[in-house]
Amino acid sequence: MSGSLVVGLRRLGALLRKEFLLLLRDPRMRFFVVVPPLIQLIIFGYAATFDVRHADIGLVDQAASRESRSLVAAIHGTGHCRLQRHADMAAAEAALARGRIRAIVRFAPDFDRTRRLQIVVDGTDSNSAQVILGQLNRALQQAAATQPPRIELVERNWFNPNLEDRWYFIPGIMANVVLIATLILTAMSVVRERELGTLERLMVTPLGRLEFVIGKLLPVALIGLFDVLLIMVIATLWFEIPFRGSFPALLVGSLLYLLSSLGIGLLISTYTRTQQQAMLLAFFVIMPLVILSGFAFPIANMPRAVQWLTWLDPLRYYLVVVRDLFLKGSGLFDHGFEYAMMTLLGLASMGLSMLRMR
Amino acid sequence: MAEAASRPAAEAVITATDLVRRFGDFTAVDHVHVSVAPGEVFGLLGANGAGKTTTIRMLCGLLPPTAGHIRLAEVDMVRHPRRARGRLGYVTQHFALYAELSVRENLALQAGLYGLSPARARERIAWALQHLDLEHLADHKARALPLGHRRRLDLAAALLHEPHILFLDEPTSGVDPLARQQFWELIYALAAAGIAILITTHYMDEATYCDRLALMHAGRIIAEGSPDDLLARPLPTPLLEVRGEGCAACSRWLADWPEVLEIIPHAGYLRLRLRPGTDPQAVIRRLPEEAARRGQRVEAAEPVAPDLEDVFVTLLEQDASP
Repeated sequence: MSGSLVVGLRRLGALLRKEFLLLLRDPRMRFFVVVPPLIQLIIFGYAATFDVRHADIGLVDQAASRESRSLVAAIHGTGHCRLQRHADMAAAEAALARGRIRAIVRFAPDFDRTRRLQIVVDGTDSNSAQVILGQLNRALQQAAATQPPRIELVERNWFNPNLEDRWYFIPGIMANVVLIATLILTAMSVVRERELGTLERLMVTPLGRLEFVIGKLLPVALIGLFDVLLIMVIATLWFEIPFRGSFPALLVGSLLYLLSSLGIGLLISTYTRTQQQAMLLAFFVIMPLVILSGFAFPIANMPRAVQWLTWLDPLRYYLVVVRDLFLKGSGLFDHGFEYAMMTLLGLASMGLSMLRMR
Repeated sequence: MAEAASRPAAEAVITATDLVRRFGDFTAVDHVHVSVAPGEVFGLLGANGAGKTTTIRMLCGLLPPTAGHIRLAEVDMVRHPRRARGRLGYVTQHFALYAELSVRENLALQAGLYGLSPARARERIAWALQHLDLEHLADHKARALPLGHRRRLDLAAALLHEPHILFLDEPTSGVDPLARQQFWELIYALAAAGIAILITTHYMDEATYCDRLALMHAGRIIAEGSPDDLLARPLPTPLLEVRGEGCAACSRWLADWPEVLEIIPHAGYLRLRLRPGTDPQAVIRRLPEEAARRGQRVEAAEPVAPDLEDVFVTLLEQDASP
């Protein structure tokens, strides 16, 4: 019936108009849409890295020979560390225990004869310890190689030639920021109306459930897309990360991702009565979504049972899409599986929410 | 003991039969019948928790009944809730429009939600602004309105789509007496235009403004009828009014009299409810002597007609101790 369609669109239009008016008029909302995503991006962009730069290394050179000095110069020459000299091991160990240095390189008095040197690394941060050990190892091996090697290895790192952690992390941060912003906004915008009693007033009108859901979600989806574009501009212009893929693919991927993040937000709103409850529940949901997504810890390293769980995480699929788009330069049709899974999760969470809404 | 509706059910626009709502083990509404005719003002009275709001929420389609039937303007609310909703207006206990939108924007939203065409919406909004005296406030944010005006905005928003039925859940609570008076004049005007009105209230004086009343207690309607019918019921507990200088002091010893059931102090006089079967004349004779013995003065003591509150208190007592 076209008549009822017109009336339905009228209802939807009225609801959308109200949503946008309230959104634009609320200074907290305007703030929430722009500032937290920017701050998260800038802070994480600088903080989220496994690279070890400028590590403080303690040096105990009891040999003080020509050879030990040349090795020290080689370590210094990598530019990855700052050397601190200590008179003996006791002083160096105390510095390590206090966290002033992260490793000790020791040349014993008989170094020239034994040709053995000692490296002690602070293992509390196991990842950094391995990175520092690797850096020192490489520097010392190169300096000690007196004869030309018989096989020369030529290394190439594809897609990220300098192995910049930031190139890997920033697309992931984009996915996280969009998830956090849209999921919380959706849950809050429904629960706020429940708290104020305005939801009940909406429910006595002939407004249908689907019209209500569309009216609530469309504005948040637009905000999500706005955040995607904002972050993309900063990632490429400020952090100088290449965007090699197709822009339409970014739009399609983001829309499908939003379908599931909005669906989860809506589902949260059906389980909560107050904005505080919604906020708390949202955080309980967001944490595992981030950890299981492969954002920081590779899914392949997780136990099998946990890997199955990651199938339910829409962030997992969107991460693949954005990382490939930024670094590998994939196209619109390269991520059918990810698109399908995000659509599935989106429809499932929306459907469940609609059922729960009465 | 609900009495038969005083009007034939055939012309009623609100008909609810055998309405039941349970929340777990708790029965909030227990086999309630409601029928309201066009142009009738029907008052639902009762303490908090008596089941008034639950009843209204079911009638509006916000809460599915556990059992029972609801027909609103010839539409089955349980089966076709969306169609039925288009025929009712609902003003909630608390302001439920958007504080950050202006009066006009709030009205435009409601007009849109009821699917009014843009031209019709403009016409109805202009009517509502004028009729409810909100024109000068049209561009003010709802947040900035005084409570009485906010209630009027609430009412205006519920009238845009010309409903056949209006539900008002304590629409005047917290509103000053003058604004309450104006609000009731509006309600009468709407009833005169043929709208069926179901209203809940705490205020007894407002109850007398209704055409018909139902008193709810513990989920059931324990009495129903016009205010005059209810007042005309013979009360088992005789009422006395006692006047005198410093007669408030009398209540100290009056409370010990076995004949006195309850003392209701007012400014300058006392109202006594006597136990069923007491001869009021005997009490009237004893009163001045007793007062004089204690150095107090009773100028007048006489039987008075009950008001609605007396009737309801008695009905509630009878219901509590069958």
